[in-house]
Amino acid sequence: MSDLDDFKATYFDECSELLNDLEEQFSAIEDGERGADRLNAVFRAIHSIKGGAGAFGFSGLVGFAHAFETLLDYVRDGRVDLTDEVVALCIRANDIVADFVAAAREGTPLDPDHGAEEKARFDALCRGEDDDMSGLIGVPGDDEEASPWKSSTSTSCR
Amino acid sequence: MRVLTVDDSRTILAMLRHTLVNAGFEVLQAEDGKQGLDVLKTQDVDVVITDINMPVMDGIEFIKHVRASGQHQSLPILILTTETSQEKRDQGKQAGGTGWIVKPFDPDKLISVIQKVVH
Repeated sequence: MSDLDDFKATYFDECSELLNDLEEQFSAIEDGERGADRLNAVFRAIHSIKGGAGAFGFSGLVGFAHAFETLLDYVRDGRVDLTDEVVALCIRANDIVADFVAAAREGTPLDPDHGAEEKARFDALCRGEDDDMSGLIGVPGDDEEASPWKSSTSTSCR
Repeated sequence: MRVLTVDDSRTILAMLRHTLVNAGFEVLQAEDGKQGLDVLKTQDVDVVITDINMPVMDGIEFIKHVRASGQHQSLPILILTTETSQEKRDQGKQAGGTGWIVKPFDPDKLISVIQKVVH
């Protein structure tokens, strides 16, 4: 197993733990526990998943996690209200992050539109649009390009 | 040379350790800012690499505490993060950060930046 494979194995183990934690956090949030500590914890978990995904060039995961993280940042800053609709959206988004992680681990591509509806809703909420736009699909590509950790550029990382 | 890496991601810590050890550095690790402060109380380090978004104590607070201690005014502290906003960069600079590196990091560039801030 190469160093890069070792790092990926560590990353996927870490993702499993973070996704389990996110499920518990969102379950509590759904039950009405919506304090700052909980919101910060879910933000950090998605942020960590995104950070590692960027290192390995999992661009679909990076793009979706970035949009999700941005919404969570707006929620914790109070710029977007944490309504029941937003909680339900976040729970769906959590499942989609898990789908992206599983696809990256297995090396199986997802449908190009996977998560597009939710991502469009994140973007709309962050723009301050309250109308339900959940029917939107086919949003443009990720605005944050993932550049993989270039193990090939350094003899120390092969 | 001894480097303290502070990040709550095991993946990033492992990648940093690999990169730094292969470049001949000794590596100390911490998983949040508070652990980082504890390390600095007992160990001499030449440079710190820290994430921003961490539990218990985030990277900005960590840097503020380090600078406030009076013992590490000139210690180079590099911020390694996926954050790209100017607001966060300004916060990092105001807190006392020496430099800013965006994840995912390129190993060669990271080593080059470390050598630049240390010498």
